[in-house]
Amino acid sequence: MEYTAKIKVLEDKLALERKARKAAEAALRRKEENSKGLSPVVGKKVSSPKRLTEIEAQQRLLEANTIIEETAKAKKIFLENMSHEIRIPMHGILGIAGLLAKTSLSERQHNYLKLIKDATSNLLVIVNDVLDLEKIVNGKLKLERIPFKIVDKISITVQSFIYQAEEKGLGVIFQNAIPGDLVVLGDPFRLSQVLNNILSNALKFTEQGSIIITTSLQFAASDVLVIECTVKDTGVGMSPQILNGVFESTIQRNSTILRKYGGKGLGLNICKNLLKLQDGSLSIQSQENQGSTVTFKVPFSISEEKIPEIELPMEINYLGLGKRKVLVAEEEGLNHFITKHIMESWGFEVDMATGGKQALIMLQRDQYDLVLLDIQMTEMDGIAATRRIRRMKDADKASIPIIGLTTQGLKNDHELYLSAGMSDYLSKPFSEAKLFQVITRNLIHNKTNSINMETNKAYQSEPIPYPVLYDLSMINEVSGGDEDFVKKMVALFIETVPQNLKELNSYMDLGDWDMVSKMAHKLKSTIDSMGIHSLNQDVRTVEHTAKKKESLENIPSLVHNINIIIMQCIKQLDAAIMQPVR
Amino acid sequence: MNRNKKLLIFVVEDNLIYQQLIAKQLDSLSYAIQFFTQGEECINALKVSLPDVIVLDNSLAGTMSGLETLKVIRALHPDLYVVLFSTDKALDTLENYSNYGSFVYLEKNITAFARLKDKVFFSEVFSSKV
Repeated sequence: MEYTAKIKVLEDKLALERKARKAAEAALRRKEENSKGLSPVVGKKVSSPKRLTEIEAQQRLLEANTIIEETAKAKKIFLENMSHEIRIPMHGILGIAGLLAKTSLSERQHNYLKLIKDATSNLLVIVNDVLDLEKIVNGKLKLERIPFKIVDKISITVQSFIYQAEEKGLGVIFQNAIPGDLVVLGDPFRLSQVLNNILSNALKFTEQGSIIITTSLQFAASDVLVIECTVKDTGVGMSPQILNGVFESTIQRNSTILRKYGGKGLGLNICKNLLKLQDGSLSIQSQENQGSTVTFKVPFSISEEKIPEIELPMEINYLGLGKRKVLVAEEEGLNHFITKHIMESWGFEVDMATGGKQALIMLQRDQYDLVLLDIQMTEMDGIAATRRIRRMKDADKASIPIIGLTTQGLKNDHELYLSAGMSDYLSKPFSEAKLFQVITRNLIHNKTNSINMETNKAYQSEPIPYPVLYDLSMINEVSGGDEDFVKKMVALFIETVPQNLKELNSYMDLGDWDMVSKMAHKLKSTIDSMGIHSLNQDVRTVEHTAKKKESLENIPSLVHNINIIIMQCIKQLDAAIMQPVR
Repeated sequence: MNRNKKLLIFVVEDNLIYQQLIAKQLDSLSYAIQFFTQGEECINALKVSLPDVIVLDNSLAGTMSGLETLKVIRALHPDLYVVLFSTDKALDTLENYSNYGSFVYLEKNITAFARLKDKVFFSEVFSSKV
């Protein structure tokens, strides 16, 4: 706290110096009027008593300037240190509050704790905001200019927000029209800061209804585009007076809003300033009790770089997904321990299986939100385990998100994992941030699936000698437990596919490769929808090579294989689905 | 979620099994789902009625691909909500958006159908029909 004192002293000194300077300036002016042709030189000793006063005046001017600079510097250091000193104990409060929350508390105690956490988080945000605003106003805020994927950045920001909104009972829609592979040059941290601010406001001021986030892009020039993002809520909205006051930078105005809504009044102001700095813009439409729509635009130059997923650990709130139960099947070892440890620190409940077989047993027994499977395990590898999981009788469990942990990064393997039924994959070694990102995007997907799940009955009650060549997961998923529908689909397959095969074979015999490609294309959809994974690659190869007229000599054997497997599928389906009527 | 069964949906999909799956999925959302197997058919139908949503596969019978069909649709109706629902991966590229027009992209896989329903359901929010 010595800084406050220091500043006071400097300010007093400054006031005195200002007075002296004014007097000195006045004296100088008088001198200049009186003496012509005499140029006062600072620091040179002059005999005349008149000159002495001029020199003194100049010197005082310089000193006054130095003091002004020192004051500004002191103020800056003060703010930085203050915020640093405030932040440390606040992180402490939040950390301990987190630990306290895990002990047994009464409901009232839980509520009090929540309030403490909320207030502390808000305070942290305000401290950060004050520092930022200071920097912006002084033109000291430096913007990054690095390549990053816009969609990734926005998705991460939005997804952790979605969880909080859903907890509050609000509907959230995220409509993105920006290409997933678009890489731009700019400051990703500031972009997410702006978005976070706006989303927090929307969340704070909306008690019921929904929040809709839309993103789109427009082109400004050949290598510059403008990202537009809109957040529309069905919250309390703002009256015209408040709307006008929202951008006021004076603290007094903002404290009125702060008091009335308990919100972070500085937030929108910071956003506007940040956006201005990036040559962007912000606009708000709002009506009292009708909600608000905040739109911001930022220009970016397109980057030529192709980046794989970028991790930004500072931005991620690892507690944002809440409590989930996860099963990890990984062979014993250090990785085993690390993965579990990381997810537990997020508040997850983690069970470990040492192999594919054990994983299956555990999945049958318990309810999980997600499974992590190591691809390479000795007695049953990740792929085989995945196939078995997808064939489980309980449709809920069969459609659980499965993430494969792989050590290779080859493209072909990825196709293999996905066609085996995995929802996603992650290559080792992975960082905490990357793990979080992949889990987040697969967990959210699962939420939407739950609408179709009802208790399921066994579809494959007959023991089948050959490995099952088809996979009705997709059809089961859509059917929502409607057995008749599934039967209808299978019947449709059995009726129509022989004709497709016949046409494929004929065209091949005739050497009409364009038509062969077209037929393969048709079959591809059917093979995909019936989950005949073993033909995934083959049918695509035929489609591709026939079209390009390359490696034509390989096509007959592939087509032959396609015929055999499909006919076998028909047999199996007939036995398993069409016949059992009881 | 039987909010509004008045949605008129066009589905352009040439695979019969997928047609059935989509119909089943969207059944609770609409009384009126029209199926087409070719882009040309869909475009002709657009002269007669204006749907709320179009679910478009990329690989179709006839001579036009889904994206090519989209281009023509966009020329007639710049704001019509279109979901490109395809097994083709990564269609949401800058190139496609600038060459053919904007669309919502959804890749066909196990979890995709439930998401399709959500996207169609929320199309009301963006409906060009007011």
